[in-house]
Amino acid sequence: MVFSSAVFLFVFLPLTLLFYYLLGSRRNSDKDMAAKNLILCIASLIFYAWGEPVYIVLMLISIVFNYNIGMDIEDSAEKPKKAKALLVFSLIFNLAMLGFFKYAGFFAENIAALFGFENRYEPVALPIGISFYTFQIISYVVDVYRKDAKAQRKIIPFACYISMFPQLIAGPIVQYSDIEKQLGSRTVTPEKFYDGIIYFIRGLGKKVLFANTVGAVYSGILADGVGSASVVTAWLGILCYTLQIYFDFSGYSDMAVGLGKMFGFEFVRNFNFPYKATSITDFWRRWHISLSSWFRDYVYIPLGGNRKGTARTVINILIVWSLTGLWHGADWNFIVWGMFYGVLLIAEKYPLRKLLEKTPTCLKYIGTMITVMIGWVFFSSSSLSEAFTFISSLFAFSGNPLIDSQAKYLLSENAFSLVIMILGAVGVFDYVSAREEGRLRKTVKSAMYLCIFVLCVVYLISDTYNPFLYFRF
Amino acid sequence: MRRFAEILCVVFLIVFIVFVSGGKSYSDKSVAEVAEAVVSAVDTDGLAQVKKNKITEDFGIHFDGVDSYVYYAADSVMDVRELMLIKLKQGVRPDDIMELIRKRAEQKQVLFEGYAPEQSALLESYVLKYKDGFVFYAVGHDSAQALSAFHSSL
Repeated sequence: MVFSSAVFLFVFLPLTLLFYYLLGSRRNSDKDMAAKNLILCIASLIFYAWGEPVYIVLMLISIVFNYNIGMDIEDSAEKPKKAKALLVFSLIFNLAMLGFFKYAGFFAENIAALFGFENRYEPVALPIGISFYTFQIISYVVDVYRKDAKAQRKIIPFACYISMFPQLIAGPIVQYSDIEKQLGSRTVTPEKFYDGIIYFIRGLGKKVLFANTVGAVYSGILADGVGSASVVTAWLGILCYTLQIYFDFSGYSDMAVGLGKMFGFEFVRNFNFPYKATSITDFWRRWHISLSSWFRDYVYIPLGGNRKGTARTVINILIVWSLTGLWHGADWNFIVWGMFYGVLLIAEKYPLRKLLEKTPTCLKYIGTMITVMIGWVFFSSSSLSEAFTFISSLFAFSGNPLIDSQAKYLLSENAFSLVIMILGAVGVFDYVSAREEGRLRKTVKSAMYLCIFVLCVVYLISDTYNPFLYFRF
Repeated sequence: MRRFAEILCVVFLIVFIVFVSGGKSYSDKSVAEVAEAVVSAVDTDGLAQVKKNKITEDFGIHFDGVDSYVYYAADSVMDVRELMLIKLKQGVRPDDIMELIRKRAEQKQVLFEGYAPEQSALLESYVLKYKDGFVFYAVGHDSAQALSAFHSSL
């Protein structure tokens, strides 16, 4: 089930909210919280089972295993070796599970290619959200091991943390220490609930009105064959994808944050206008913040971070970014995409540092955006060869014409909407809305968001193009 | 007790992996061979093969993971019959493509609901299956026969 679907908007969400608030009164007693967590947990399991009921078993196994091991780790705090062994056992279990379902096909393919035999391995279907919930589980067991959080002694709040539907399938990745207290005590005020609705509708609008629209243009360009496209068409294509992935993913994150608020949670912000960044380092402080934070806290810092000299820092950055690429998908283009950023971040940190300090901001901005767009070519392609074909069209390496009739048509049809989306992506609308916040009456604001919601529903009913890019991760 | 639960979880995980991995294979047959068997089992009057990029336009399916496909749709907008066979590239998971098809089928149901009960009923009983590298999708009175032909052809 996706948030931008009629069944979610008109059946699942209203029913879940109804049960949630009927069974849990406004008093924040332990009993009410237990009932709320139970309702949320049941709803989350139904939500997860909607498309692929088989994989609910996998999630339940994971919940029971990690619930027990968390308590075991905490109870072994006096015996560091035992606690460490339990942590390693847990990491092996969780990473083996992720490895089998996500990476087995990739490794089989590469081993077969390396040794020259035919690959007859047929990978199993990828359980939705496995990358997100495995990382959340790892954050839990590591936080308990480090004593940054207490082990959860009640299985329902723990199951609620792992399976919570607002952020289950596309993040943000919520670290256990950030949400531990909220699982035991949280309140929803009318203002918070209203904020949640506004966040949700804003995310829905980003997804349905912007991402789907621009995604259809990108799909059309891809279907016509990007290898023979003109330079302008190819750049238009990657611009469309650049906008699509931002509105798609940040829209989904906004919906998750909004839903979280409706149920009393506060999730971390996952995007902060990444297309306003003036360097790659700045971009990654603004894009998928919860993933970057996870890798920083659970991989980069434990590896030594930047505390062990330049050579070790460079190696650590490359390890983290190869893993970031691999996390996104089991394919070489994702690994290359991750390494691409690793190398760029090292370059910004060391050899280019002084040069960048002297470079005018507008040039840094243009350079960052072009680099990010080239990065998206690797990300969006299904193979490295497809990515290089795309790049070849971007720079006319295969003698592609500068502009053709397709480019002119696409520009004339989409120029206005692209300008609107670019303004949205760099935060112009948010700036205006924040400036007008005090002056705008609540009823006017509510009416505006109601209009956006109605428009989204009309689009959802009439338009068949409604993919969601981050589901595959 | 906890240790027992943990070991039991490991055992269940292994059993589950064996269960979901069972019977996975990739067919050597071409999409044309399978399509021939399937098409012969259904009434194709009023159905025609559609242009190259129609599966992207209609379903949002990119060509990345697609090896080859055949897609028959009706000429009339009020005829909801469809037949589609997609052969995926080896190692490509069917999940994303099946989700797009499912979504399209659900959205089309919404369009016809209320004023075209016959079409609506056909759309509700759409068939979507995956087997040995092939995604099969059919909407029509004879979709069950088509599915049976699909299974026998692999």
